[in-house]
Amino acid sequence: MAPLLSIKDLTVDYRHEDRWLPAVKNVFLDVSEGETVAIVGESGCGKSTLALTPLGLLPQDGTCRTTGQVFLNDKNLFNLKEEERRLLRGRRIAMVFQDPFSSLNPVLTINYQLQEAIILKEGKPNHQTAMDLLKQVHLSDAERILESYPHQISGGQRQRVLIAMALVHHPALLIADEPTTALDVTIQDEILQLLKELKTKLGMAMIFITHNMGIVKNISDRMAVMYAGHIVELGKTADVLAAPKHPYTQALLRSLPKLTGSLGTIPVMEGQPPEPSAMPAGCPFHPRCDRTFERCEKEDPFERDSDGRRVQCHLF
Amino acid sequence: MLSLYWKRFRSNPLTLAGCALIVVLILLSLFSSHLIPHDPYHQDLLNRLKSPSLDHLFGTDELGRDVFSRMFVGIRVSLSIGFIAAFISILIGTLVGLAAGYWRGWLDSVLMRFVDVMLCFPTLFLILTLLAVLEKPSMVMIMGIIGLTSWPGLARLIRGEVLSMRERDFMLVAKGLGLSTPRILFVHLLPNVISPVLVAATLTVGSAILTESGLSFLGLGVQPPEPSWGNILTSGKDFIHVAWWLSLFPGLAILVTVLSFNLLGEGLRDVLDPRIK
Repeated sequence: MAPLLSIKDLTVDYRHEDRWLPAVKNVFLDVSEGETVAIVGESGCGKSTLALTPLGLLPQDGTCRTTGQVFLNDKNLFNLKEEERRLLRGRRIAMVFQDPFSSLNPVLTINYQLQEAIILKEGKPNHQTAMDLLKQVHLSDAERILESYPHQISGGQRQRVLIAMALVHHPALLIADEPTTALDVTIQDEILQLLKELKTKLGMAMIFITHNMGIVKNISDRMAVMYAGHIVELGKTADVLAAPKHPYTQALLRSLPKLTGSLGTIPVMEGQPPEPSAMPAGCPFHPRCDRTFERCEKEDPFERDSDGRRVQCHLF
Repeated sequence: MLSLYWKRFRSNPLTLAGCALIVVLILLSLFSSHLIPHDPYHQDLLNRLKSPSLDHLFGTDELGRDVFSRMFVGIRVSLSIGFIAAFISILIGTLVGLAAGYWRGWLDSVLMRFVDVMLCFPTLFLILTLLAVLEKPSMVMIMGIIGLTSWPGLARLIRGEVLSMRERDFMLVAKGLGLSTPRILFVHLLPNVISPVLVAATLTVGSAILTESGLSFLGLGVQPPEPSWGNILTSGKDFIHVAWWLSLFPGLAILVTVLSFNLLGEGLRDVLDPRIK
């Protein structure tokens, strides 16, 4: 069966002065129906850009260009007209953003913003649908929340409202861009459980962007590790976490502080991810890699497919 | 939210005074036909240039017409020109600013270069040229021309606000929900940039009234015998040594009215400024 979402050789460049700088480079990624794929990586590695691409939310003012293909059920999204893409947004693909504090319009009530989404589906506002949606995301006191302005409710409540808005159309794919990062730890866990529950209940596929390995383990079926715009390692979450192959993934996992045992010194990865304007030749990770050899400086490694596990490294 | 605004609004006596005066002027202009003591067009050549008295509160002009009644009618002229010209200006300025800021790219460049060109002209000379081309300017033309020449500054202001708003996450959320572009522009974007629009609107009314007075003073605005504060002032200029009231009262009226709108505008700016809590 064809995957729900299929990203083929996607490259996204941003224009900086007179140059095009890649944020996402030659990315291949499939997401099947009902599957959760986690995307992890450091800040600025292209995670969010990758997340915005299927929805068509990248800037359209000429400062950004895409090449490659993104298929949603065999339909190449890049060949659709803007109006056709708009009709997919919210309906087939929905998104939950990182910062619930800035994701709701401050001058409109929650009810108004929720009803806007409901009108798109049912053609007219429906109070009962709004109440049901809020119940579905476990918001008690729904009446009060509907009447509130965003600044009158808490961050956790806002994120629940945003999830409810994203779920109006029962989308086939939910893209969650670090939906818990801006929240308190206790709330983080609740939101995570909620997303897991709704995903199972509604049979959605999910792309979950995070830099928290605990969350990755908890929520995803497969994971992709991004570095400098490349997916450097892709595989079943359990496999990757148990036996990371790419030196970057290994270093990333090594640098996690452990909860048990003495704290000691946490091994820290030296250096910084490369700036898009100063991408090293060859493998983008080689300047920080502890197993680098001659070939790494010259050749960009091409992905090797081995039983659903893909590692972009010359070692494999 | 509203009560907070009201509290801030109330705490500034100058703003309140300006607001009160504008309300009084609007009421006076609405009921002017019932309130004027004399026919503003009636000439009484035996009573030319009479100084202010109980019968003629602001005296009479060189044709014996009652200045008080003429100024009373002038309120309506000034206010309607002020409001309608400001409305035209705000409408164009807001649409241009929204479009340029939201779509960016070539549309932004074209619109903003046009704004630059417009801002290069001294507005008054532009208006004078346009009016000189038209043979006999009517009130509607004056409103239109003032409105059409005063929007560029506002457009640039709105564009700036839009540029800072369009990067906010809620704009992406609105787009991600599949909302239509007009809805995003007018329901999500516009209310968030409305405070500078309100302030600018108020200030524009004041400056439009001033422009109209200036044009009428130069003889290119409201044409006699239709009274306007500006053209009363013009006729007063010739008699300033013998009939000071002909210049003083319309001059004061213009001053106080424009000042009221400016005070209200400044007050609104303080009230709506999100940085002041």
